[in-house]
Amino acid sequence: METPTIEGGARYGMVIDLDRCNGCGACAVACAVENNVPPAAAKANDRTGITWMRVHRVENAGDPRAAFVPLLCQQCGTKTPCASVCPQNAVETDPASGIVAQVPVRCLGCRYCMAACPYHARSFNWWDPEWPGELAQALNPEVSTRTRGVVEKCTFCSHRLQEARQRQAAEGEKKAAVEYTPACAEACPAGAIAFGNLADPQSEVARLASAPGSFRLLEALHTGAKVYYRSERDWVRRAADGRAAATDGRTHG
Amino acid sequence: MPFTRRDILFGLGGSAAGLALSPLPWKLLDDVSIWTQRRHALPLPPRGSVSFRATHCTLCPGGCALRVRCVAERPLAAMPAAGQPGGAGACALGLTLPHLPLHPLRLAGPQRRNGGRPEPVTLETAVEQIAAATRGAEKDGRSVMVLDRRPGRVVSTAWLELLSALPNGVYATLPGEDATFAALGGALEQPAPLGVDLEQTGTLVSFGAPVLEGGWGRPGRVLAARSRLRVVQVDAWRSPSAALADEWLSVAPGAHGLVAIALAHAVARERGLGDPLRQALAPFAPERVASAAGVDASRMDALARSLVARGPAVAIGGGDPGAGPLGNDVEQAIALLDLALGSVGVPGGFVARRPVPEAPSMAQGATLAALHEVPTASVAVALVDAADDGRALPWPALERVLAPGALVVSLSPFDGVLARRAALVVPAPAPLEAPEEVLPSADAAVASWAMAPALVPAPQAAIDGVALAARLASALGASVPQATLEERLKQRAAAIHGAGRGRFLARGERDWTETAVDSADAAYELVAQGGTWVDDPAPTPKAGARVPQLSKDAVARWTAPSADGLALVPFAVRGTAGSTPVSPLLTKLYQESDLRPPTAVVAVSPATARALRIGDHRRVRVTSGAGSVIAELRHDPSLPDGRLALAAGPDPAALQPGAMPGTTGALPLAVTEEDGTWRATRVRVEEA
Repeated sequence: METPTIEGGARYGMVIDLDRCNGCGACAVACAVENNVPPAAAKANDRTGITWMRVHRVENAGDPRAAFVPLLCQQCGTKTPCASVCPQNAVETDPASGIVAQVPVRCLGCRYCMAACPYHARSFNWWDPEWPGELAQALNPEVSTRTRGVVEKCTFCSHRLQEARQRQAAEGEKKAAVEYTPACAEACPAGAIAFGNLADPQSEVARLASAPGSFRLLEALHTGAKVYYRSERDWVRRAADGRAAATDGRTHG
Repeated sequence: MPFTRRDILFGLGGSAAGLALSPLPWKLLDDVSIWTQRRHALPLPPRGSVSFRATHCTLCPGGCALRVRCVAERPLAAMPAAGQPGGAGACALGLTLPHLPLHPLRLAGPQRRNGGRPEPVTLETAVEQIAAATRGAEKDGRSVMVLDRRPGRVVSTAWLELLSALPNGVYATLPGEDATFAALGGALEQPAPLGVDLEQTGTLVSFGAPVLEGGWGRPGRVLAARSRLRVVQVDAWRSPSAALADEWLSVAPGAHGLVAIALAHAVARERGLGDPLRQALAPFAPERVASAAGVDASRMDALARSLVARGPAVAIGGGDPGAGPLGNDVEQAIALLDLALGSVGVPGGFVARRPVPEAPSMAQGATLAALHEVPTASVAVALVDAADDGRALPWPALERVLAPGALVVSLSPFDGVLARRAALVVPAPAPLEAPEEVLPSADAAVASWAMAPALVPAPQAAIDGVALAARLASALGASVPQATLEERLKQRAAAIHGAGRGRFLARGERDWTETAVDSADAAYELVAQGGTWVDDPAPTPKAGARVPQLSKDAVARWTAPSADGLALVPFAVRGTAGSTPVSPLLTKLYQESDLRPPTAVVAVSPATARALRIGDHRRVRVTSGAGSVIAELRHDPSLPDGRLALAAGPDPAALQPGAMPGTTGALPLAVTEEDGTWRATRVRVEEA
């Protein structure tokens, strides 16, 4: 399935510098706060938990320095595997932004998409979400909560894109490509996450994506992922690819 | 053509097959999935106008600036504020700051514990009970102690004034991240607080401080300097900072001091330094201490050469937040290394900063002491202030100073780890519920003063430290100033404004702007809106006037043969092992991913596990002289043999109301020493 695009539309993407990431997990927590991802259920573990962004540590005997690989939905641009298999059209690609979005109310919970995703970047709601104490008062009104029995994943904080578009419209402008920052990129204290419009060759993210040392995970699958990674270290590039393909951390929920 | 039974079967089969290929089954599946969704079980997010407020994180001494998004005036989410002077950024803990006023362990009112069962009491009753115990302490000649883990605030002044008015007041603190700075500051011609000129530092040698994982100083500043800063981590295990450092020097547990002083000797030799430093370092040649330190002498010599060549180099201690302080002798040894490196008062080295101006106070007369210096069984009333430094404090460290029948009072917003040990708990305002000061972080090169303003009202029963000190003074008939927290903060703002130095920076949407401030009230308002005061750089006094001294038995302790069992290596991320519980959302890191080891998992090397005959993922009982815990054992090839690594927090029991904390993790195992450390703990492991 090819990603539909519109003329003048954006192609939002991300570049994560693995040599800067220190594995603090701020991106994962900021993502959960922003997107109303509930705290772990009592029985949840690393296979059944809901993590839109997950940071993995990788090591190499020949290098004293470890590396951390943040894994999230790679926002495939072509042949989007999850969208191809969804019987419910619950996965949709926005032609104006290139963002692969999940529509939880359409999802019937068959988890075909989780089986199809080569990056293991999707989570299934095994339990009713619960926010202990009064924590539900801290939910983000811009993002809907999800029920038990549906799949969810990173949306590049598409609600922030909507807000940015509304702000732009209020200022009298109308462009498909507006500037905004997802929660993970805003939260990263190491400045390891760059975000922007890949379709704009002048943008920082486009420059970084095409710079030497940048790569995409599982490139051989030709998914056209819009998340790029960077590292000066060969072994980190190989390990990141291996980490994405590994099935020990997360498979099909 | 006859119509047979076979035709009926064909017809039915064909219909069934056709139906399966029609949209009907999908429609049914779809409808069933929608009908069975439990949307009524989902909470409704709050609605209202969106606004942004400026504040600072107060969960550790880092003091990161935050931008808080509010809906209908209720804080929902925090993000790091760009451009903060002294380094911008925030850790995962700080991003969950708005969750804390809503935390399930939030205390609703004062409680007295009878045999562990909480019993609600009024604030008046609680104050009267503390006053009665204080009067009893006076009669018995015992002490009344306040434990303050964030000294230097106006709340600290209020406690000092109360204790000064008592005949037996003791104001106790704990060594923090700045312990090396304090040791080194004492060696100056005129003792002064110190910071680091990190932006020009060549090499940073960290003795156990988690510098690269956001656990020391201002995280944003360290990370911003990282690309040009060489980091050497001295640790007994491959900690996250060791795994990110340019060089990890693996040392024997408890040998940090020995390595520091041997490095100092090698550096002094390399630089050709003379007396009196050389004399102090004479017995510590690397080749003489290598065996006890667990590091080859050649490796220490090579490191010393590289520190001299790639300077300016600074060495810092402070220790891991979960492993507690390194101890005064180790800090003195690190200070000796810094003196040998000549890193005081040079660009890229240690620089003096002036203290933050304070309003005049009546605080004179109380005994000031580190907690481990307070005599054993001497305290009849121990009041633990609400401020948290983000570092672990095992209960035995506090229990040691308590006299039989002592009253332990916890002023805390939460029913947290220490509060559940206290006989009396008085709820304090949670973060964001009352104004709180932000003082310079350990690494800061210049003084600064900022505030986390109150963004939500505190519960009626909550009382801040200043107000509680005033009520206690009133109940005891002691004469102390009756100013409120806000009035004291205004007095301090006036003192800073009156000092006439530094600059005030107002907080904008995305930046900070230097602003002329013409009155003390304007200074307070600027800071109360999330702005900050930043001091001018100060001249650094000459170093080396006094050589830091080790205690007589320090070397004997460092070189003593190890006892039986494995060496316990406790660790924690700053803020997760203190008395403030973490947001339940931190389970994303501790439970739903393998990024951070939980307190229910212990790690040993595969060789150690083989020697113990315990397989991977087996359930084990870990026992020390202080207690025992049950955990899952994992094999970790990065861990040196003979050591057992175990997180000190966060304690999952601390998230469940009513559960007794201290049943998992390293803290129940900690055997505290006379110098306030618990790094020499040995443990036994057996299959459970």
